[in-house]
This record gives sequence, C-alpha cells and structure tokens, in this order.
Amino acid sequence: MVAPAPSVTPATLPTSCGSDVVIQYVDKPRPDTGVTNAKLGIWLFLASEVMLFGALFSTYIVIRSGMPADLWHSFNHNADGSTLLSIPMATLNTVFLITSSITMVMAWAELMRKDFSRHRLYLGATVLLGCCFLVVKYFEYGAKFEHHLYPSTNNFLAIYFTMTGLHVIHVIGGLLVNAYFLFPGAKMWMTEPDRFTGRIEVSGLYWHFVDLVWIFLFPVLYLM
Amino acid sequence: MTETHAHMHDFEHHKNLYIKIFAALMGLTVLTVGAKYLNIPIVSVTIFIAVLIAAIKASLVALFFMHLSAERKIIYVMLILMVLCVIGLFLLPTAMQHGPITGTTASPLSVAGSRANGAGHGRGGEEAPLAAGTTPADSAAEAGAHQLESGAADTGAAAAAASTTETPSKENH
Repeated sequence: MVAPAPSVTPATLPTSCGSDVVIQYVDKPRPDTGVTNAKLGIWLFLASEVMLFGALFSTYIVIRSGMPADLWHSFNHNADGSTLLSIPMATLNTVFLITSSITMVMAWAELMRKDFSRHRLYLGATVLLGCCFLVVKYFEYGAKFEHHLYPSTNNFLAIYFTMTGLHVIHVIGGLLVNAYFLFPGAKMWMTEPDRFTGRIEVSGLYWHFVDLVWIFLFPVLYLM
Repeated sequence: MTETHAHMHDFEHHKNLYIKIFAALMGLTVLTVGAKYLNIPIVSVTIFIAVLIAAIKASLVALFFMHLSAERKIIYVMLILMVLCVIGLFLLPTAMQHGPITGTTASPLSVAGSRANGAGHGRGGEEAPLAAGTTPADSAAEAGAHQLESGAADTGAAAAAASTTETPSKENH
C-alpha cells in the first residue's frame, strides 16, 4: 500500500500564491495520503483537541467520583432542589449549534456544486447561529456571576467554567475563521475555487468538532 | 471534471441525508432532555442514558457531517491512534488510584470538596494526619511528600488541602 514518494515538479505547484513559500497540495489530494495537506493537518489538530478536552472530561470524572454523591448534588442544585444550571438555556444552545452544523455542511455542499451565492447564505447563517450561542452563554454566565457563583465557589462550578469557557473560546475561534471566509477570504473563490472549497471543508470539520464537544458537555454538565 | 459532475448529481441525495441527520440530532436532544425530567431515582441509569444518547449524536455528527463514513485510510489510522491515547488518558486516574503512590490520592479531592462546602465530609483529611502520627517519622514525611505530589497533579484547592495535612506531620518530627 506504500505509494512511491510523489515527485513534485514546478508545474504541479499552485502559482497564484504570490509568495515565495509555496504550500503544496492545498487543492489536490497528495498522492500518497489521498487527502490534501490541509485536511490531514486539521484532523491531526482535532486529534490533539480530543486529548485536550479528554483531559478535562477525565478531570471531571476524578473530581465527581472522589466526592460523596450528596455533596456533588449540593454543588449543582439549588436549595429548593432545582438544578443550578439552566437546562432550557443549554437546550437552546444545543439547537443553535446543531443547526449551525447543518448550515456549515450545506455551505460546503453548495460550493461543491459551484453555487457561491447559496454558499454565502449558509455560511452567513452558520456565523449568525454561532453568535446566538455566544449571546445565550453571555446571559448564562451573567446570571451565575450575579448570584456570586464563580469558578472558585466549588469544584462543580470550577469544572463547569473551565470546560464551557474553553469551549466558548473554541466557538469564538471558529466564528472568526468563518467570518473571514464570509467576507475578506471569499475573494479566493474567484482565483482558486478548489482551494477555497478545501478551506471551507477544513473550517467545517473544526466547526463540527466544536458542536461535537458541546454534545458531550451538555449532558455531562447540565443533565447528570 | 467527472467528479464535479458526480457531486452535482449527488447534491440532492446528500442534502436529504443531512436533513435526516439534523432531524435525528434534534430528536435525540429532545429525548435526552426528556429523560432528565423523568427524574430517574438511580443516578447511574441517568448517567448511562445521557452518555449513550450523547455518543449516538456524536457518532452521527462525525460520520455524516465530518464525512468519516467515507474517509481516506490515513485519517482512520490517525484516529485509531488517538482513541488508544484517549483510553490511556482515561485509565490514568484509575491506575494512579491503585498504584503505589496512593492511599492518599483520593483524599485531597474530598478534602477540597468539604473545604468549599464547610461541611465535615473530608474523611481523607482526617486519615492523613492520623497516619502521620502512628507511622515512623521517615514514612510520615514520605506520605507528606506524596500528598504534595498528588496535590500538584490535581487542582490548586487540592494542593492547599495537601499542605494542610502536611503540617501536623512536620510537628511530629
């Protein structure tokens, strides 16, 4: 199965980069891996991200299992027995992220059939839904701070703020990249459509990963 | 060119698939929230249902939105390596708890918990000074060192708890 090392001739290199440093296989799959370098790169990055979030999920398990169940219950419930975190808000955010995932994949699918205007519509919707997520999160955090609930309050809130905080940073990162492709970065469609499609695919893979992390965060922090 | 053509042809098929996955994800979200409001008295059952539904949802996203259902071999090889690393990562705390370092690993957590709550749940916190008082001085110091070590690996609060349990062992010297 080992393919011979690809011989790179100047003719196969993209020429419109406008820079001396040429990144190879940005629009066509590399013969030996079968994927573009960008795609291989994002998957490696996502694998490392799994380890990052995995460490925090592991921390959650250790903290929770090392604590008496009634104590844990007292940390994530109010005095009247209701849950400390707002399940409706988190459910709304789940809907936002899942919807943004399908608009993201549609943004890519529209590019695959060369429909740029519909692509922009879907990508715009993805960015908008991401912003909605942040707005809800803002109110959620605000309500906690208002009741003087901070990461230092107890171990449950510490792991809650750490995990959701890291996730929110990821949402912001994905939003910035997608906003870039929506406005200034969209120029590339005119010159290198295949490369631009690859970029949207890679950005989409990241965005789906952010959704995937939330899919686990939601039940672990809000429903258990 | 034929590839592009095939994609255009497959577009409607893909779109329908994505919409089905979207509907499934929404349905599972309703299901998992609904399960919460059932208020099942057994915690382990609640956890099992929540994690199971989350795993199904995550699989749907990975397989269809991230196109893992039809990906190149090198991506699968990479992800298998990642899964092995994740398994190792998740087994690490368990391995630590039964390893030679322990006896004390569990205690900083419960001490940290009770410290925040103000209630007397810190069984580990009472154990450690007791052990320091009854064992020879050198092993007591060793236990203190281990406490610090495990405290460093855990949260800041745990480190603080470890240092408070270390103080009485110093006084015994």
